[in-house]
This record gives sequence, structure tokens and C-alpha cells, in this order.
Amino acid sequence: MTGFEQLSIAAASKKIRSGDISPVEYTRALLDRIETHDGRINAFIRVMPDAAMAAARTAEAEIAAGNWRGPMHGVPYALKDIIDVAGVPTTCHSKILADNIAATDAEVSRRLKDAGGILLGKTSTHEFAIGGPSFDLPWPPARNPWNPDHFTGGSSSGSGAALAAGFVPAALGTDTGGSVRNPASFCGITGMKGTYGRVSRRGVFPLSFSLDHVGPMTRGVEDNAILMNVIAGHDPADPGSAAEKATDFTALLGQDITGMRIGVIRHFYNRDLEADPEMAQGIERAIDVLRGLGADISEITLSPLKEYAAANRIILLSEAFALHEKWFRERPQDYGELTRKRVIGGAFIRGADYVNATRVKARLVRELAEAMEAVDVAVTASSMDPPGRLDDPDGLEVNYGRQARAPFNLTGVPAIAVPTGLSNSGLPLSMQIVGKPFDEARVYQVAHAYEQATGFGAQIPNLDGK
Amino acid sequence: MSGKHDLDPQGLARAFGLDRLADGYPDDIANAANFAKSLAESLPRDLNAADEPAHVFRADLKKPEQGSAS
Repeated sequence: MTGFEQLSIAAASKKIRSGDISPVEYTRALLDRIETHDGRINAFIRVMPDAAMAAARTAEAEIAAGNWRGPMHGVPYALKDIIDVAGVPTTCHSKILADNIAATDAEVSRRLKDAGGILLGKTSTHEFAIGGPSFDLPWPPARNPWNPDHFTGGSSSGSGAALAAGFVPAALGTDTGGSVRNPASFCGITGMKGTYGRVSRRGVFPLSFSLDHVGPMTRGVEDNAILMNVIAGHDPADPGSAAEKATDFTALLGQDITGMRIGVIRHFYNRDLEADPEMAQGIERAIDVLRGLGADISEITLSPLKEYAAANRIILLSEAFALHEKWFRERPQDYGELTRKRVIGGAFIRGADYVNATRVKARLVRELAEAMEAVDVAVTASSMDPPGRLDDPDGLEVNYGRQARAPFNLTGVPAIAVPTGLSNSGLPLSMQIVGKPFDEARVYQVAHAYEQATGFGAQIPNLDGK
Repeated sequence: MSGKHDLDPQGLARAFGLDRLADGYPDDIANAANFAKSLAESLPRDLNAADEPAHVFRADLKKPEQGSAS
């Protein structure tokens, strides 16, 4: 343990700027940690030590010359391996794209480069952000740093694992039905899916055009807002990008939440699905903490979770199959079993059902917006269960749909997953905080107040003792 | 309606040009077809003519830039 693995972006940035730590020393320490521990965690598909050290030396020289670019300057990060970096393979964790070299940077990669971040490597994912955890792919699945016998969540599995393991303080994931927030929940970190269109998807391999979001993953809330400041913004080359003005997502951090109106969508986790008791108790304790901080708690009732989930899944599978049909015709054997089983459902969804799912989507967007008029943010479950064991594929398959994240992909509103502590067996518990469109700063405010009151955002497991 | 697909999923897969899938993974095809049907059955049935799709049409769309694997 060198201490670098615990550093937040915010703390590292201050130390780098003041010269207390060197980007070169910081990057070397994290690369050494990856070298020591990632053989058991499998967070990375590709580590890029030479490029990282070169970038760190450049950052150090720039900062020493007085050209500090901002809070990510000299700070290491990782990217889910469906995000393009020029000259580097984007494999999507699949044999299908094992030799696919990106010609240009994704917009989010460009922004992180311009901000002076140090890319340490590309992280493992479920195949094409949907098929996993799988042992029949060219790379093994990521393992949960809290207990390597357990699932990380997915599909941004390596990004979640890399953060929990202290390999990086920042990573990007993507989220179509919950794929940033699921690994955040299972790895005890913080994952935000902003408003649809808030972050450019250009250069990110799609899963479902209507539902895909790129999101920041960090250990704590302040860091998440800092990273969102770097990656968010209008991109005219992404047809789904929103022409919203730039926002400082850190602006409300530290502000009192007395009088904040918080709605609890309790029926998602105690009626529509019944959450594991420890998970449910964690959320109820969190609600008590928020009440104790002065929030005004009420209850929100929406349509049943299964209506949100069905519309999300129909749209997701239809669009995913449209993307993969050619390869399924020509080389179905090159997909992993789980990807094949999940995506080919899209071949059998009728056009009328796809259209009806988008009609339901429009209705549920209105429903949520009307319910949110009475509150500032909402709270609900993320996962219904703590992470299951990797050697129990049947159990993992049962738990796959036991989540309340898809409603916020369908409706496009911001949602953050934050830790609510650990289960009796030492595995992370979590909840979601949901906001109104383009009101991410409010979501961060509430999440940060909760985190500061509990200290849950700062925990990482001791890898050296396992 | 039940969760089982009314038509022959293998035949449908072949009609869609997915012969290799139909030949190699018949159980996956059947399960996928049944899952698709059960999803459709989970949608609310009370949509009316005023419930329009969530598509947003913009007449000024430019050709998007392509990623590496597009």
C-alpha cells in the first residue's frame, strides 16, 4: 500500500498542482498496483504502461511550466473497452472485434486527453456491453475486489473493479439498462448516468441508440461531479447530444439539504420486486439519514416496474439486434453464449411491439415528470440483491433482471448509484438517487450530503490481505 | 396469450436469414422467441391513438461521424 490507491481525484489534483506529488510517481504507483493485483481481478483487458508514463511525463512538465489544465491534469483514468482511443484496439471484449483498431478518439476520450488525464488502459466489459459475466470470451470476466469469488456487476465491470481495487481514481462506463450503476452498486463505488444526451456517445460502440449513456465512475461523489465536468457537453456530431449549456456539476456540493423534497419510489423494491432484506434495510437507513439532514421525505407511486423494464428491454433488444444482425448471420459462433442468448431475442420482436414500446416510453416519461414535480429528487433501489457468486451462473441469471435502473434509461433522467454500506458478508449495498432532466447538480448535492454523513464513499477493500 | 411463441422459431429464424443460428443453437432460438413474446405481453394494453412514439424527428440532421467499428 502506497497511499496512492486511496487518493481521490480532488485530493490528487490539489497535490499535483502544488507539486506535492508527481504525475509520474502517481502513474507509476498505480501501474505497479495493477501489475501486482490485476491477475486476480481482471479489471483490465489492456494496460498501456508506456503511453501512460509518456503522458504522465508530459503532464508533469506542463504543470511545472505553469500550464495546469484542470482537475484531471496528471490524474490516471481507465476506459471501458467499447470506447474508442485512436490507434488502440476497441474489442468490446469480443472475438468479433479482437483486431479492431480505432481510427479516432471518441468524444469523451478526446475530452479526457485535452483535460490532461493519464489513460492507464481499457477495462473489461460484458461482451458488447450485454453478454456477461462470461468465461467463454477471449478475456476473463472481472472479479469483485471486495471478494473475487463474486460478480462485479456489469456491463462496465472492469471499470467498477478498477475503482474498487484502487487501480484508478476515475473511469468511464456506459449504461443502457443500468451498466454504470450495476457495477457501481456491486463494487461499492459511485456511478452516474446523466440525462440522455448530456454526454456524447460518438465513438462509443452502441448497444441501443435510444437508451445508451456514457457515465462517470469514481469512488466518491465529488470526484464523479469533477469527471462529469470534463466529459459532459454538446457534441454536434452525436445526433442524440443535447444542446444544453455547460454546467458546473460541483456547484451545489456541500450545500445544506434542509427542506429538500425527496420522493421514495418504494414499490419498486418492496412490491414490484422484493429486495433482499439487507439491501432494503440499507435503503431505509439511508432515507433516515437524509431525513436527519433535514430533507422532507414523501412517497412516489409510478407504474409497475415491469412496465418500465419491458419497454426498455424491447427497445434495447430490437436496436441491439439491428446492430448485430449481420454478424449473427455470418459468424454466430464467435459470440459468447450469453450475448447470443440475450441479443437474438431482438430478432423475434415484432415491429408493432417495438413501436408500442416507444409509445409506452413516451407515456412513462410523462408519468415520471409529473411525479417528480412534487419533489426535487427521488430515491429507490439500484440492485435488489448483493453481488452473487461467479460460480453460480443460474443465480446470476435470476438476479440479472432484479434491478430498478432500467426505468431511468427509458425516461432519460439522471440517476446515480451510491454505496449504502456493506452486507453482513462484507459485500457492497447501494441505492439510487434520481433527478429531473439536466438537474444532475441537484442529484450530486443530495448524494454528496449523504456520503459526507456516512463516509461510505471512501471505502476500498484491502487487496494485500486476500 | 401465453409465454410460448405460436410460430415455429426455427422456421422464423431461417426466414430471417439466420440459418447458422437456427442450425447451431436451436434451444437458444426457441428461448429467445418465447422471451420476446413474454416481453411484448408485459407492455400495458391501454394505449390509445394519442399515445405517440417517443421518436424525435429533426429535419436538420447531418450525417453522423462513424466510430471505429461502424
